[in-house]
Amino acid sequence: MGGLQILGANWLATKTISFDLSIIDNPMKLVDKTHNLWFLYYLTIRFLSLTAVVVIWTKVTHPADKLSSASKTINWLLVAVAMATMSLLLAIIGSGSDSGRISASLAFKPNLLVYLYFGVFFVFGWALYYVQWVITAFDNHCWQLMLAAILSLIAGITCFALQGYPSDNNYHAYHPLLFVSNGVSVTLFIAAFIGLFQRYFSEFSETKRYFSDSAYWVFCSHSIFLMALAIPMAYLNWSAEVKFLIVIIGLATCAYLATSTLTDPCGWGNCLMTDDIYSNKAPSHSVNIIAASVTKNRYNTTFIENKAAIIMGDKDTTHFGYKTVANDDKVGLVAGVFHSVAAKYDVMNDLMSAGVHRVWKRFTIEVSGVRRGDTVLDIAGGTGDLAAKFSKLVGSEGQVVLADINESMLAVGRDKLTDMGLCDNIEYAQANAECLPFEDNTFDCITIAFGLRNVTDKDEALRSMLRVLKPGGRLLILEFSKPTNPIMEKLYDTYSFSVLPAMGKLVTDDADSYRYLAESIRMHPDQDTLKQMMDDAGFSQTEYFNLTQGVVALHKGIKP
Amino acid sequence: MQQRYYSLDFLRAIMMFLGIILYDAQMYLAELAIVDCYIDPVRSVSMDATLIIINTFRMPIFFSLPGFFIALLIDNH
Repeated sequence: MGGLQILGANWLATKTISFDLSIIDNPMKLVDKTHNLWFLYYLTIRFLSLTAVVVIWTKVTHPADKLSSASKTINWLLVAVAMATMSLLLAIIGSGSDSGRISASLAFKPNLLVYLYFGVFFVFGWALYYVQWVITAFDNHCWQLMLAAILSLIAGITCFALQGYPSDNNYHAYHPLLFVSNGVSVTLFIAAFIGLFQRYFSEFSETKRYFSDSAYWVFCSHSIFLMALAIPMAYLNWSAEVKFLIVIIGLATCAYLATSTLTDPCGWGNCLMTDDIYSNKAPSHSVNIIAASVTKNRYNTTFIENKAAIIMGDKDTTHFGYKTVANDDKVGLVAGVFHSVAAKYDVMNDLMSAGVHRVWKRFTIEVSGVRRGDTVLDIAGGTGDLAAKFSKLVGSEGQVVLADINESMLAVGRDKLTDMGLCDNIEYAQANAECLPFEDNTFDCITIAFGLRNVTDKDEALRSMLRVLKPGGRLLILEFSKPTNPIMEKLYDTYSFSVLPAMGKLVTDDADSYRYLAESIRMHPDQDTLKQMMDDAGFSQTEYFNLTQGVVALHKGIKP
Repeated sequence: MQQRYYSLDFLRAIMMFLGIILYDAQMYLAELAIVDCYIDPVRSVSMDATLIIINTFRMPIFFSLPGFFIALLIDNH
């Protein structure tokens, strides 16, 4: 690090790459500091000073036994008191600083305030180990915690801007608000981040594991690359933001190149990585759709027996994205896609559509005209977004059936709805849309949201839906379609073939499933074709509504 | 074998990577006087804002996680 500092100072002073020590004002500063490793330095001091005390305390009081036996459920009062106490401690320790918080100290001589301030976090983490149910509490409310943390931070920054210098009149009014806001925001940020990561990143994935492990060597080597990228741009008349981004992109490229070398089985660096870590993939789910039988779930809702779930078509081939596959294979392939993405399905929907899928579904609910006492079938209901809304609309006299061909999706939906307290009027059926296991004239309304394009024989599915609808009943098909605006079409193409797979890779470690999503959307019939298919199946008064410039269309048809 | 805490491990990694973004921003600070290896002649207040925001939670999380994992190590031994 000292060498890099000498190089940086020389470059700024003389525009030459040299290591002239005389440029540095006080060369002793280069060695009398812990540099970027101050964190490890203080951690070592803290570990040495605290461990003995805590180990003895743990042996004497057995806090783990007491806390685990006393905390079968989340004790919100205890969580709130602990977080308030932590905020207060941080505020008190940070109150002496103009910024209301304590920053790093790189000197070898330990700073008491730094030791105390960051010690609060260390003790917090230590305590968290013994009360891990608190992580569940953070998980349950992670977004609320994040919002509160951001608001507190904004309050803190505002106070900092208003307080001025200690001699100013405003200082004594705003400074206490500043250090309290800082204490609160820091505490909330920790809780929010732990909750967020617990919610979205608690499962194994090769990418995450590799990313986590590589963080060490990336962090240890980053300074050299940082300087190598930044110094050549020193005298270019570009804005700081552009230079900042170029350095980030350059570092990411270096990391990517190193990664591809390290993970390549023939690469020079492969010996640094142990194979067993990255091949610890969860076993793939077996696809056994036909075997769906009556199952009691934990809240006594029932899966409807569906032993005739699958009838394979006799036609030879169909589309699976851009591939042409045997009809018999498509069900299994689609099932594989949704088994893979089920756990992160809701998160991905929000990320991919920036939350707009909620508006599309809300519009579907409005158009459905479902009311109290109705019987509703939600096919390909997945994680139950529509079923949850319908359950409230139909009330206790009505009935909602959430059907999906995929057991993983159905299980996620069932758990989500039961966790929401919706279990009185919802049943679950693992069913194929082509041969719905219900009597004729059963439902007032059928919805299928983002499911029809995955069905092997869409005409057969439409006829099956017509059969189980009551006369006058409505079919609503919410599905990706063809954008009506050419500019939007171009943007949409770029987004779905470039961004979506990358996003899928990051969140679910599965780019292929999201590539299939993009391809299957392109292969799906456009608005007019689907309307004609509904007419041909026997629906009347068919119409469609383009949503978001035709990215999605809602088709509606009535059973005569 | 004990289940690995994937979420906390990944959180630790993200905070480490945020540190690199922070050191990048540090080279272009306009107001805050923090010079590590090098400071660029071109500066921007947006870099100060980036640094302040990341600094608010990064090191606190960084110190919390070792507390958790040291408790885990001691508990296991």
